[in-house]
Amino acid sequence: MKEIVINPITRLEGHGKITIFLNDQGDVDEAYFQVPELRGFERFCEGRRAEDLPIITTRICGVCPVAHHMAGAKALDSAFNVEPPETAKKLRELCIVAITYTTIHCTSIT
Amino acid sequence: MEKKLKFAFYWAASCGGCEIAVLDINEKILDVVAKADLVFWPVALDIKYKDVENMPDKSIDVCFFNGAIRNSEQEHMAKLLRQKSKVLVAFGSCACDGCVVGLGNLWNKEKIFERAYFETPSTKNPQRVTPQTRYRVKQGELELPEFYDTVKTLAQTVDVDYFISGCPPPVPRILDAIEAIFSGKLPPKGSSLLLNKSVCDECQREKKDRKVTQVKRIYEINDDFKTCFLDQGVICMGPATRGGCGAQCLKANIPCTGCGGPAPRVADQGAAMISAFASIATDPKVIEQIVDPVGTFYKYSLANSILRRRIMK
Repeated sequence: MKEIVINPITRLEGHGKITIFLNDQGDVDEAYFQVPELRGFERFCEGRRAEDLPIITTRICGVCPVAHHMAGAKALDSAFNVEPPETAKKLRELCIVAITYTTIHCTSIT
Repeated sequence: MEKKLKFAFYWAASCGGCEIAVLDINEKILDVVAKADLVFWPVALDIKYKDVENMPDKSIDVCFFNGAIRNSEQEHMAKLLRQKSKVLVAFGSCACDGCVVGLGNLWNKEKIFERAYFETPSTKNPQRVTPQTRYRVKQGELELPEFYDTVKTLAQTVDVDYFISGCPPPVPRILDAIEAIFSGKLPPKGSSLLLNKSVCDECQREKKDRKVTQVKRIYEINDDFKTCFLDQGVICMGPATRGGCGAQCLKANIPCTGCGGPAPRVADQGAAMISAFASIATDPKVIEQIVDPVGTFYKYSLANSILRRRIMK
C-alpha cells in the first residue's frame, strides 16, 4: 500500500496534514485529515478577568479576530446582564460587516 | 541585476495575525517581492516541509518565525529553519515571549487535554479520545506531533538574531525592519526591532500624582480620556512594556495589556509592572484587590518570564 503525505496543507489559516493510503490499483483506499495543533484556549481562558476574554479570544485567529471579539463581548453582555446601547450594536455590526465579510473575504480571495 | 534576498515566513503555535500584519504593509509588499524571493510561507505558497529540508544550509537570508513552541513539530521547524537561515527573526509576541499561548504553562498537557477534549460543553467524547503521537489504522500508521507540557519561546529553543514583538508587531516597525534588512543596517545581534522606549513614553495621557488607593476594573471608571489609567486606579502595562506601537490601544482609550513584551532593560515584564504598581499603591491592601495577577501582569510573557510555568506535582 502506497502512502502519500501532504504536509503541511498550505494557503489557508491554520495547520493541517493529510495522509492518503493508495491500494494496489493506485486508488484511494482511505484519506486522513490531521490537525497537528492545539494551543489550549479552552483551558488557559479559565481564571482570567471576564473583561480580558475579548482580548484573549481574538488570538484564536488573527485572520478573523473580530468574530471572536464579538463572541467574547456578547458573553460579557450576558454575564453582566446588560443590553448594549443602539450605538454599540451598530458599531458591532459595522465591525462584523467591514472586517469579517469584507476584509477577510478579500484577503482569502487574494 | 542585484541578487535577490531569500525570505521565509513560518508560523508555529500562532493565530495567523502575524501573517496579516505582514500583509498590512499593503502596497509596500510589492517592494519586498521586488527585492526578495519568498522561498517558504505556508499561508501563501505551496511549499512542503520536505522542500525546506532539501534546501542547502544557510540558503535562506532572513526567516521571520512567528508562533510559540508548543509541540515537537514546531520545535523541529524552529531547529530546521535555524539551520537553513542566515538570520532568524522572532516575529511577534508568541515567538518572542510566548504570548497568551504561554498562559498554558499554568497547566500541563494532561490538564489542557482534559479541558479541550472532555470537559468543554460542546464536546461529546465518551471514548475519551485524545491525540496520539502514533496511531495504527488498518492501512498503516498515522503520526501527530507530541504536545509538550511547557510552552517555550523561540529563543528558548534555538539561537535567535532579532526580536520584533507585539501582538501583532506594529506595521511601521515591520517596515523599519524590512528597510534595515535591505539596506544592510541591522543593529547588533540580539536587538529588538521595536523601539527602545516604553509604551508610557509614547502615551499622550497626562500623568498625575500616581497614588492608587483602590484598584479599579476598566468598567468601574468614568474615563476622562486624558488622565493616565494608573492615576485612575486601572492597571495599565505601559510602564513595563516595550513601545513602538505608538500606544495605539491608549489612543483608543484602552489600557495597555502588555503585548510588546518587556520594556528595554527589563528582564521580567510582570515583575517590573508589579514593582511599578507596588510603588504607587498607597496601602498593601490595594495589592490584594488585584484580580488574576498572573493573567494581568504576564498575559503575554509568562513563558519568557522568571516564573515560566506552574510547578505541577
